[in-house]
Amino acid sequence: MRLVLHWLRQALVPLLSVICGFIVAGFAVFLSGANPVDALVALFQGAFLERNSVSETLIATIPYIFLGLAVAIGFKAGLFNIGAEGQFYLGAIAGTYVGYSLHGLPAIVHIPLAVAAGMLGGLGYAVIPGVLKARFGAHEVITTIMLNHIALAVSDYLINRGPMGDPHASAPKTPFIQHSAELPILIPNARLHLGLLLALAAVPIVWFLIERTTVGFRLRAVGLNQTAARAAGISVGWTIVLVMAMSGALAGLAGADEVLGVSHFMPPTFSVGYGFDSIAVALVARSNPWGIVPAAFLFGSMRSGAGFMQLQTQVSADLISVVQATVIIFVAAPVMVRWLFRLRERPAIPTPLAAQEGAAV
Amino acid sequence: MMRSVRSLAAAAAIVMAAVACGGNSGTSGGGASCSKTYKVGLVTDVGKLSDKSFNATSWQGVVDAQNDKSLCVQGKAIESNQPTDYAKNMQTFVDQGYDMVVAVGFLMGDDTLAEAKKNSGTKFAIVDFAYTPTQSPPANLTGLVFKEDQAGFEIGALAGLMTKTGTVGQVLGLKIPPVVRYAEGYKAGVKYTNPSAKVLEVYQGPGDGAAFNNPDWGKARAIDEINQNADIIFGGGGNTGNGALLGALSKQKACIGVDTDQFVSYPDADGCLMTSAEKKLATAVKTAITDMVKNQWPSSNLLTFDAANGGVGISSYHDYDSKIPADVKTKITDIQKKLADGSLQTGVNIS
Repeated sequence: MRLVLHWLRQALVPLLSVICGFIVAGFAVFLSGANPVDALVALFQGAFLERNSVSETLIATIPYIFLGLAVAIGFKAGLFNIGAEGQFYLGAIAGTYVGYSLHGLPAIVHIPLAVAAGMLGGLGYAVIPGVLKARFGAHEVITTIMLNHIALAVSDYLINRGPMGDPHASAPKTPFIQHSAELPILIPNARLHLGLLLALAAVPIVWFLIERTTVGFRLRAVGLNQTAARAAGISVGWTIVLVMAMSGALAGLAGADEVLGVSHFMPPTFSVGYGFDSIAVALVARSNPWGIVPAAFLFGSMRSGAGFMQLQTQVSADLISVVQATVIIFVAAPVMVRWLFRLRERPAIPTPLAAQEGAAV
Repeated sequence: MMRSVRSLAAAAAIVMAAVACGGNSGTSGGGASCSKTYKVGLVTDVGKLSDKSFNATSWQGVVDAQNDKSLCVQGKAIESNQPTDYAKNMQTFVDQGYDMVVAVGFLMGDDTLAEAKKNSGTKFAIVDFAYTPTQSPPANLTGLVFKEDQAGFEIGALAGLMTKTGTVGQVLGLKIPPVVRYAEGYKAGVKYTNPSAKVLEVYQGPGDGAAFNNPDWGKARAIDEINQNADIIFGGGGNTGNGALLGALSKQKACIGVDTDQFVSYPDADGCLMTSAEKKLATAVKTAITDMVKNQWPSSNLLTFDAANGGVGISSYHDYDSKIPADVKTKITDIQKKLADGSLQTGVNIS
């Protein structure tokens, strides 16, 4: 019971922030001349009530879970990995390459290989800013943003008639992956794929890693106070590289999963902001691995229902970006949310160690 | 910061969508004379409706069809956020009982083929894409393609007549068939009116940055060509080409736009724009919708738009009108007529 109350308290501000985000977006809809209630109803209908829409909502949730975990792991260690987008691309590229270039493998071998390649791709790409930070003190926000642009340019080079372009296609894209690399479909006649189970399995693994292992302890210690961590004999540099590696592996897994599970090939503009949205996911979840699941589900639902909302009400599907952006503003300003809702001021920032112990209960 | 820019853009898009939709929200199609209202859904690629280019112009075709009361058409659009949404958004229209789905752009080629095969009761048209027989496109699917070489020929002829240095240039996007047709048509047109003129050309290669979206590269190449004596630049490659127009503008040379009337869609280059080589996506989309309504759906999986049916051509000269001599205008009109009636061929045959 105490645990439930504790979780509710943890979730209160994010929940209210989401509500505020919807209110602001509703206002934008109103200004555009449409009815906000109609838009909200259509968004809900599109995400849950139409044919296959639950399956589509879950499909949209999968990358948010992986990427939300990726960003959250960084947050736990005090690192702001803005590079999830780029690591997503590298993961997708590596997964796609293994997916189409290896022939004649049984699925039981081919799928794990392609998934592992995706994780390695993202991992390798995230280690670069990790090392730059650990060794030279280069700020990871700057380096990861720059690496995002490079990742996009690299994928563009590879796919637009570059080495990975499909020479037989009239549009720039990679060849299709082999059937043996396609993630199995979970429900007949829908697109929902095995990636959902992988994503759900990743949550407890990441939680366990952060909260129950010595690696996780070091990671949290570095996040709370680098100087103290160093004084306690923890190698801060090594921990930073390790955290970026894990974060990148999760982001790369998201990219590979989108190719192996949904598109089965890679077009030039593969992700439009998944990596950035996932920062919002991690913020709403307050970097709690369990919290990632509902947060990812919320963002997945919005993305999935947006098309139907536009069809019914002609409110642009871009509206969901407004909701996401305002949610971030409110999550980032908990004091404002407490003031708006006249919530009693709890100790604004609980002492870090107390918070960590609380989360670990 | 990136987030705030994105959200600002999103907010702007909503306002624009509201303005754009204001015009047609009342015209739900169908009148007393309509026994059936045909529902047409358009799925954009990730460029969305506000791209002032393929998506926007294709959507205009749906709006035109809707405004033509005799067709009894009602149109809606869904903007795709992600390439993985294409199939889903098309399926949404099918599930809602739409009679026809319009897919915008070659990036949706594979998804559109798969959706059309799966949903034989719905008509599918895809803009700027043709299927090969080996892909065995089903009867309910048609590609809408253009004879870009004819539009290229017309602007080439104009450039050949207007150049003072005897050298003209073109800065192009990726070497894909529609772009090559423009480019080859342009060269043929220049040679037709000015056999001794020289044509400089450059295509964007794999290492030259974002495909169709590297205006800096386009601008630099245009300036290269101007430094090699070119005095008219054709920018044929999306935003890369737009950069080329800006390059010509910065050197006070003439420029020629592509795909839409760029005097309207890209006012930044109005200071140098002679005209644009247009492919009329709106006309094409409306034609496909009309064929669906009138039960004249093409049996060949292909609708071709050319000078004869008004599907390609050059835009109005706008501000440049006074600088073009009357005899040049007469010659261009004559060339347009001959291309339309078939007495003049561009000699370009690229599919």
